[in-house]
Amino acid sequence: MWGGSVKNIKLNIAIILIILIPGIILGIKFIGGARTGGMVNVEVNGQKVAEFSLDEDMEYLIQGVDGTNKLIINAGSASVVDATCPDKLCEKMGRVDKDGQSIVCLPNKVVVTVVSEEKSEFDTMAQ
Amino acid sequence: MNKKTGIIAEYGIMTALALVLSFVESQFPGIVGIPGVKLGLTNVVVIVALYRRGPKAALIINVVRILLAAALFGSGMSFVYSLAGGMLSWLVMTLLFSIKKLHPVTISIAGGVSHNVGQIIIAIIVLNTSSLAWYLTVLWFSGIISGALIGVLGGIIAKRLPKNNSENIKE
Repeated sequence: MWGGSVKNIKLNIAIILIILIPGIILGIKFIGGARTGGMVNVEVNGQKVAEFSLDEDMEYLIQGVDGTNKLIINAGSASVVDATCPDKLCEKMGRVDKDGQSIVCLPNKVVVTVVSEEKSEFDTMAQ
Repeated sequence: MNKKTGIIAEYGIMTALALVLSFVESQFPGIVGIPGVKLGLTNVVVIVALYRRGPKAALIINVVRILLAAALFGSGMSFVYSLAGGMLSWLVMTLLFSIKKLHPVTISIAGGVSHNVGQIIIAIIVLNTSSLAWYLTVLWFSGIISGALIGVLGGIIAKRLPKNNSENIKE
């Protein structure tokens, strides 16, 4: 079937299951158990440049490595619009509002990540 | 005709086909809207090469394809990403291929996931960040789905092609 033998069907299914498991664990972590994060971290080239609360609607122009991206926080979720990069994939990535979810602009080296409030407070204390 | 000539011609045809598929795919960078989520049509050729000619052929065809694609319509960064993805997926597929004759769909799923993992590793290095777990989750499943589709396609093509073209050619 489909160009292969079905002799080792059990072994094939076992390998596919082994591949599926890490994905499912990651998926449950993000979709199932994730709560609304509360804060967004903006990183450019590995450096944290800004942090905002998801509770306040606002706009912020991120100065990336190769251009700019506009971050919009609206109704408790963050999205990126108006990117100067050529493929504009970050704009199409939609809205993020759950812990650990992120929007990435590869050319500008911009990473926008949702973090929980407690965690970011702890980070501030640790600094 | 010499048997070797036939094999060289086959390598050439497969590389050309992989390059064309690479170009076709580069024209639709954001069909789903998430960087890295794509069908990976080129892997059809890599799977066929792996089953017909073995791991070495799959490696040569893919490396030449990646080099040519970068020179013709890619950028420096796209070259690094596709090389990392291509090499890691080749390694994983070759290991699975050599352990036991597995189904092309299984090998292609492993290849699709490892390709995306390779690209995430480069993204983590380039962006100097560790917060790409969300991407990894999305790309993990996109790798499984596209890998399965490509595996079905590649498996059928590998089976339908005549076993060894060069042997059919009269010397």
